Amino acid sequence: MAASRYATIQDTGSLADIGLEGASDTDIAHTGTERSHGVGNAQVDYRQFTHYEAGMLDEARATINNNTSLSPEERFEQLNRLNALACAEVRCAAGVSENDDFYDILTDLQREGEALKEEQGTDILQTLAALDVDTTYVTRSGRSSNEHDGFQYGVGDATNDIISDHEQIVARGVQAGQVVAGTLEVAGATGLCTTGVGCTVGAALGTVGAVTLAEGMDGLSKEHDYQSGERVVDSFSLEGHQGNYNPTADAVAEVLVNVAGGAAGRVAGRLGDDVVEALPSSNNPDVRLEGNAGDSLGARADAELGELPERSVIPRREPEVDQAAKNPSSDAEELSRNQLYPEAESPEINTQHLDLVTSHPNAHSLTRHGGDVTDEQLRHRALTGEAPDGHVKIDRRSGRPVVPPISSAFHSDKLLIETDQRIRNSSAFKDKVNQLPEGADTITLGPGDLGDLGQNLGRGYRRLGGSRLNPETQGAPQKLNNLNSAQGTWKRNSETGEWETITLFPVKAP
Amino acid sequence: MKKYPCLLNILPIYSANYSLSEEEEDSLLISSYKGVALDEIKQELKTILQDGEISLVEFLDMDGLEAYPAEDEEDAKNFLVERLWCVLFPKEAP
Repeated sequence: MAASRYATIQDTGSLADIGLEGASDTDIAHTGTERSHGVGNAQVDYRQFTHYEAGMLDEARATINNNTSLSPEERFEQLNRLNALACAEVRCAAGVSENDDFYDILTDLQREGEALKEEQGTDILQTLAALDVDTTYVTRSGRSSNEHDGFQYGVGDATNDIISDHEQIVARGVQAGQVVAGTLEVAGATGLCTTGVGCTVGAALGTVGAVTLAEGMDGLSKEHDYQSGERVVDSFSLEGHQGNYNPTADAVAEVLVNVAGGAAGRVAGRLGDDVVEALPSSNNPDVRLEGNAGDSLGARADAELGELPERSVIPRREPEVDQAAKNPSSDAEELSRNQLYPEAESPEINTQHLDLVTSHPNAHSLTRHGGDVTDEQLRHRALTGEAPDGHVKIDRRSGRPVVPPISSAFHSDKLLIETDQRIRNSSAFKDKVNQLPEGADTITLGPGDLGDLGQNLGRGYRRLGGSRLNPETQGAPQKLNNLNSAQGTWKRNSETGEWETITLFPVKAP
Repeated sequence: MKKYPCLLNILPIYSANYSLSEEEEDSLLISSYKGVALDEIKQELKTILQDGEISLVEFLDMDGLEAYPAEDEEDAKNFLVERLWCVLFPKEAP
């Protein structure tokens, strides 16, 4: 799924507008799905955490893990509290079926978070703020940008959860649609707009437009594998995040494909009936809200098509089949705990790898960019030029301190060392080494060489203003979150042959 | 546009992000290039100082890493001569 396709969809209004009349059915179907993703992503976030939210939680975990004043028990307690409050805020268990292996774990976590909110009058936003984690993110629309708060829950979430919670029924409807011949006008599909999910389906049909596809028959007899719980658990950290997920959009797009391409009206109706039967009682406030909002959803989606959040370009990958998740057992619980507390489970640092980032006489990665560096120290450096270890680079002509363009640090020493290892083992590193002329033994790699390393490595502050010598006139530096690439220099030790790290710090991928 | 791999490889050490002292920068530069590599960086320096197609200010900016935030082309040229050429080839004129 190419990101460029998202860009095309973001900038246009209809299938005809994006020139897909001549495209294959499969292409059109994919486009429909992607466009629906765009619609959904533009509305609100989902019950799983978004990529941005996972990054915020990772940053908070790193702060907790790096707080040396906490005992291991206190650290665990704070991590658990963080996860519970985050879960409660987006109702992370709400979209998970009772048949899901992770249902009990996530339900308990959500209840725990709700209890914390009620008893202590706090929430995830306050908790993250106390840990100095920025909970806003920016979406772009053309040349303009808008700032949003993370951890919100809205109309689209309710729809997604209803569908996700009844994944099997929706999947069965889609499979049935795939084997029925005939034609149904797209307008007929808007007949689904009677209540709840049906209305959403109808509204989105109008948004996406007519596409055709006949996909095969084998799905009908296949037992449906639930995915939601695993996806939610994975989404607690960028380490396991599978990309953003919008079950409403998926269901709509798949139903649309069948309805418009060959399914009879009764199939669409049956799907609608199934879904409506699966809805909670009509006094459920979420469902009432959805029913009222249904007619306007299509228009709202159209209106918001131009505001596709940055995060929606993250490719959505299919989850790998996980035996522990498929077979309910204590393994599943252990797996989810490991995923929820990735940092807490493996604090060990390989001493050989540690030596490689500390052995060079000029090495300063850990002291200036390691896990012990605080945000306050980074901010101070961005304003004054003074590094966390007290070092100041002095301009030879003016004699004044030089303020670096970016002051950044990894979330933990372990992450710094792991990143160093990843880079050493990368083809970019090996290529640089191979390209060195004879007699050269220093290499530098930056974000242009390394690209997005796919992980929230650290945070930092960007110096504001153009002058590196006049920090006092530059005001507050700009906070940079989710730094996902790195800049570093390595020098080969002529005696040992080892490449020793001179510096390594996180930066934003281009 | 000509490419200058040796220079692009070593210039980041001058960034304030690296925060090395001038002595550390000099030491790292001298120890990084010997033999054939020293000849190559010498040739690159000679070429870039004569290169009329390149903006030395942009070249030293290095996409925001700021090896040296030169005020103008002359300032950029002086940096390359004083901080690299004179350190590597103190007895030769560029």
